[in-house]
Amino acid sequence: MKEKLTRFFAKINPYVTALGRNKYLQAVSGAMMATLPITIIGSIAVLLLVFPIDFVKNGVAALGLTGVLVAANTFTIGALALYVSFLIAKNLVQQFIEDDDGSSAGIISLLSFLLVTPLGATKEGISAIPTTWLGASGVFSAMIVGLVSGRIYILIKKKGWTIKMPESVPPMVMKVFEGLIPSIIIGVLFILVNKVFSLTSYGSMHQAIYTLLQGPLQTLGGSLPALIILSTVGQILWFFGIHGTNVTMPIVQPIWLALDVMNLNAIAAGHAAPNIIGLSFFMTLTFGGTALGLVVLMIRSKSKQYKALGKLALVPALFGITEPVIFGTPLVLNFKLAVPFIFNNAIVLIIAYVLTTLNIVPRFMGTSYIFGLPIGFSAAIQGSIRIIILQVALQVLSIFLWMPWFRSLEKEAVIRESELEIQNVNMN
Amino acid sequence: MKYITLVCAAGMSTSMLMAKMKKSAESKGIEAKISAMPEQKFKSYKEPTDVLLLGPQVGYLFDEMKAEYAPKGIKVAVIDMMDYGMMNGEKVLKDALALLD
Repeated sequence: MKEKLTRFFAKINPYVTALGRNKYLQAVSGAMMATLPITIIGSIAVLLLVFPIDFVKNGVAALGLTGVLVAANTFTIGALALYVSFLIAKNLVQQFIEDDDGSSAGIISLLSFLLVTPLGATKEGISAIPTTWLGASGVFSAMIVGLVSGRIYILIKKKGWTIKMPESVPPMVMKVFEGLIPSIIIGVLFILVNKVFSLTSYGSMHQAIYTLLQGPLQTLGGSLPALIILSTVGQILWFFGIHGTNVTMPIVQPIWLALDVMNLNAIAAGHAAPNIIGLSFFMTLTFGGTALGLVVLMIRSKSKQYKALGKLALVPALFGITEPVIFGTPLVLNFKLAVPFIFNNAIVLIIAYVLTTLNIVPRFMGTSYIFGLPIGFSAAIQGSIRIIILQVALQVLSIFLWMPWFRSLEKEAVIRESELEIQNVNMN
Repeated sequence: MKYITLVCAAGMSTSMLMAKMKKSAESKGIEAKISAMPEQKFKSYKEPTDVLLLGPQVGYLFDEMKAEYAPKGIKVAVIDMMDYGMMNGEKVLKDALALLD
């Protein structure tokens, strides 16, 4: 069995590696990561607006902060698509071209995004951009604009279709002219794209992409089966020693992030959060790959080896960093602990999903997950004490999920260790 | 002065190992500058590197990293899983320096 799995793995390894190294996925994941400071500001603004403790909520209103917090939310999370369109093109260009920092491409991408965004007017006739497509709903469109404009930029640059300036021209000026041709080509392209979509029943590219792509993907990706499959696949990769989360995240992050933002928007507007599943739901509850329970078991273990590892891995694990226990036990390629390692995440997620459906636990606010916050605290930003209790309780539950498997491993270790001791004694 | 750079996914677990390696280097009087960073940051890292160590969870990057950086004279290796898990700074440092001999 072991040989078959190892051989199977050796066969799929190149594909996994290719997936993990795919430049487009990396550009997407890099860009989404770069939006973190933006979404954190917005999340905290919303959190302060709806804080479950009245003292804080009323304090905010009394201090007159409501207006600025709402504005903060609108221009961060409510404008996410703008940032995403810039960042995706920038990251993509950085992946493909050595010394291009991607900012020219980013600007062109932002321009392109705006070119396909419907312009409106206020009642008084002041020209204005409706925020409809600037936030979560426009994220997929922004990604496509970013990837397409970025790719065209790269193509143009690699083919050398730039205006060549004589050597004596200062580099600053040369740079301006270099960016000119891609800007014009890509800009004209998106003006045409906008015209074409405006003639369709969708009215705009954003609407078309949302209806055809984002909506269905959100329904699909935000479903429980998708959540379970992705978390299990990620854990299987970890079982083979590959950073599973790194490989699966680029695929789901945009979708789950958009679901989180939908929740934040709803809460900021005073409605109930619509989504159970989201990026924060996943990250908060699969805290450290649900390995903290194993570490706790180890600290009190009769095996000297595991006790030492447990002590060493405890503090990082409390902060969600479980590489020490993953590589130290090791959990990698350790068939004796494979079942809990691979399936614990799925189990806790299903339990949490059911509890939320039954309204025993509220939906997550959708605040951006902050990696590195200790247990309890990382759940605190989701706006409810019940969620904190849920996170902690599930980790405690995981102790029992690990227990049967760990006990048998422990027994073997204890026997091994005592045999070694006897040998040592006999030799002296 | 030996320059050792550790990379993993987010730079968090390698930074813990880095602290232990620094301690070991100090206690043995070895002159080594050890840094840790997320693997994507290494491309734009301007300081010198003699040895590039990959966390085992990003071991799948080994072939690519070796192809790119070995010609530049950088020794590339994947950190041993157990040493990484146990945060054995002393052993990882020893293995890294051995690559330079």
